[in-house]
Amino acid sequence: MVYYSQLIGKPVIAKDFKVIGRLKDLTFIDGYKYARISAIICKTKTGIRKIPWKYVIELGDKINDTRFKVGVYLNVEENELGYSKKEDLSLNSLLDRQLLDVDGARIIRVNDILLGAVEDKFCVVGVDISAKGISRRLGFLRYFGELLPILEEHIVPWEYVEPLHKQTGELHLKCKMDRLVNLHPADLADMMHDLSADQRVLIFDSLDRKKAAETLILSQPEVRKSVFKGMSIKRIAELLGNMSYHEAATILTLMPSIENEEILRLMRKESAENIKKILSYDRRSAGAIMSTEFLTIPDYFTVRQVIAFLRKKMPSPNRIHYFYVKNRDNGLMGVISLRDIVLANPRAKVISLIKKNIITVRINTPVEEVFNLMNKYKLLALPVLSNEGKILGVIRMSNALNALIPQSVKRQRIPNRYKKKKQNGKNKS
Amino acid sequence: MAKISLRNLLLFLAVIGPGIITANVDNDAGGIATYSLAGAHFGYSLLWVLIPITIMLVVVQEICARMGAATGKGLADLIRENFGIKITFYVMLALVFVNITNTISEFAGIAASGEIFGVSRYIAVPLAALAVWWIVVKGSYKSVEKIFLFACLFYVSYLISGVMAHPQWGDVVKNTLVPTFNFSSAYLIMLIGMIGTTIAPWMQFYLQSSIVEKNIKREDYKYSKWDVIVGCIIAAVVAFFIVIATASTIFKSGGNIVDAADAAVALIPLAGRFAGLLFAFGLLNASVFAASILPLSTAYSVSEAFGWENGVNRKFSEAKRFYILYTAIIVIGAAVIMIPNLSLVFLMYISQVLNGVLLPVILILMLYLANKKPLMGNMKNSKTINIISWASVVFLVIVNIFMITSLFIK
Repeated sequence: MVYYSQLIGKPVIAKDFKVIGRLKDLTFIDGYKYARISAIICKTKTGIRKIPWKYVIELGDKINDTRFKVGVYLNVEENELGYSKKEDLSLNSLLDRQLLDVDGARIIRVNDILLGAVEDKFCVVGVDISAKGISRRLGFLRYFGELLPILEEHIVPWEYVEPLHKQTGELHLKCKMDRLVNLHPADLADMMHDLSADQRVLIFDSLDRKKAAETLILSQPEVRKSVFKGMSIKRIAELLGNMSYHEAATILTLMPSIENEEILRLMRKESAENIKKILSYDRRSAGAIMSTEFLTIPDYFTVRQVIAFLRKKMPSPNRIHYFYVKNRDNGLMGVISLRDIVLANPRAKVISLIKKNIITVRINTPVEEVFNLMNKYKLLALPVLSNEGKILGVIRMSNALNALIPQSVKRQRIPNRYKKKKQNGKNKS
Repeated sequence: MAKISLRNLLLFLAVIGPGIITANVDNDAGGIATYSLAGAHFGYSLLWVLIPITIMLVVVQEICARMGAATGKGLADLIRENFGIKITFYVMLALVFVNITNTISEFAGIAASGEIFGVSRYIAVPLAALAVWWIVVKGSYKSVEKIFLFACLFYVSYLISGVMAHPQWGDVVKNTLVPTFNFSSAYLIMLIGMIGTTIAPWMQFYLQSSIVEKNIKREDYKYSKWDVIVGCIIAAVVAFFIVIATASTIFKSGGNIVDAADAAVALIPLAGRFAGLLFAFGLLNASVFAASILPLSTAYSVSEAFGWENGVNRKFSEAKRFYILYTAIIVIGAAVIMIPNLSLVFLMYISQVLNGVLLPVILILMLYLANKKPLMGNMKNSKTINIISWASVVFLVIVNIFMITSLFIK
């Protein structure tokens, strides 16, 4: 293992012990766990040369060469060298920059880079984010190494980091940011807050539609605004199409109304109309916060049929607390919880199990009243009815709370120790 | 000139803050002392200097604000990413030292003005330190900004005490518009001091960080620019009235003062008790204000540079190093002032020299960054701005070399 800062500026030496030049940079090809070093960039008297890694036989001190403590030794002579033209990513472009630490769900700054041999290949193993890394690069460690024992090493393994800036031109495409899939959208949303507008858009562009939509929903309003500013109307419409109607509506309320119309025009007609309807409701009323995804079942179903129906319907909607039972005229007859369905005799008729006196609200019921009802009767969700008694939507406790909790509370950040960790057992701690 | 509509005005009000706050803190204890001395020793004859100073201040601050809006990153961030760890480390080291000494002088201002009101420094200084610390640690960016903007209002006290000093307005106008020059070394040192106190290294870091923290985007920048310009003009007007206040009274009666608190005391028999007390109150407000911003700005810059979690929106446990640094600077600043019979002359001397070296370095780094196309895109420095700013930088470098040599000669 060797630190990148310990190699920079070191002599590059050919087979005949002739010094060709000094090491200026290393290029790498990103892989999931490690990034393989592909070439060394060498500053020679005649200019910058890119030498493929295959020519390097030894790093460090060679016993029969006492001139240098550390050198990069090649296995051929200078005139036998082939030069690489490939435009790989460079280590210098990582140094001092910000990276995403997917494991800790935070932004880090690269103080140094740890390199090492993995399965016979020389690779980037991790990035050093500690004060020790800084002192090493400043040259302090060399002189005061023994005086600085309090400094601890802190290496983030390469498999957990994600570069955060655009490399020149097409190179950027090679950073697919595929490690982001390990992050919970709520953590991603949290990190968004710490990034610049360009970095936010960069991350959003690398997420798949569903994840991007979820992250957007969970982000702070100002983060959403800045992300939208860097996106085409078409892409916004696409993202909103992946959300539920009421989520899309909430997000649209943040946009200028002219753009809203344009976005809605690009969406499917059915979605656009549903969203428009939600937008027309008072923002502090039941209509604006209700979800239009809920499950209704006919009154003649048995418990077994309900379960079969649920299995078929899954995964949408993704949160279910109750089934709403309706008669042939679409009138709401009663409600039964998921728990009661699971526990009931599969052959029993649903109609015999339902609760008939249900707490419901209207489209224009204020959010506060909705919350008080849910709190008083300990409901996880309650239905919103039309004047004709038809069920229009459902408000879940989380929707009601989200509408009621002031921004100042939402803005409070959650300490890192609660952040979702990967569950595949590879975790260090 | 952009047309002024209600919508534009509202958008302007939404981005207001960073520019006005930064420029006002510029009139801190040290600034007020310098302007008071300029008026007291040279009358109205240095008033004209305020106009070129304001222009330079606007040019420099505008670049920072623009970089913040264009990149979404603080100045320390940009320096680290573009110039590497070595330059960053030494710039930060100098910045921390200069800012600590500046903070000490702010607490000295609190102690001196407190004593004019009959409050012992052993009460005023720790109380102020605690208050300043509390506001930032317990607040969010928005609440802190509101308090800071509110503090800006109290600079009006200088306008009032300036008017109460019954200036000869004819002379004032003449001396503001017509430069007069004097080659005595005392005059030159004062002139250099005025320039040096107006454009300080920490301001560039603070302004850019708060533009970023306020989430000002490229599109909002045209409004933010006015925040900067208005702020610089307000700061210049305040400086103008400080010079007038002492020039119309102390200079005329031939009095001699050595600092801002002296000026306040000297104003009492000459312009009335109220004018003197207002002057002292202005000093107290400015010192408290700057004593909270300087440590904050330092903590921001260092955290950005080394990649520590930062921001007043975080809690103590989330951004430990940020808050520890912030607290430490306040504690040092306040503690030094409470040591009896301690002479700060040597410390201030080193601070001025470092300041003089640091400022040109930072300005040059800034200009390099503001001209970098991949970073700034279409918000890169224009040719005109470049000419004006390079001219200002060259001028400031010369002024700073003068200042440092004059310090050595002294």
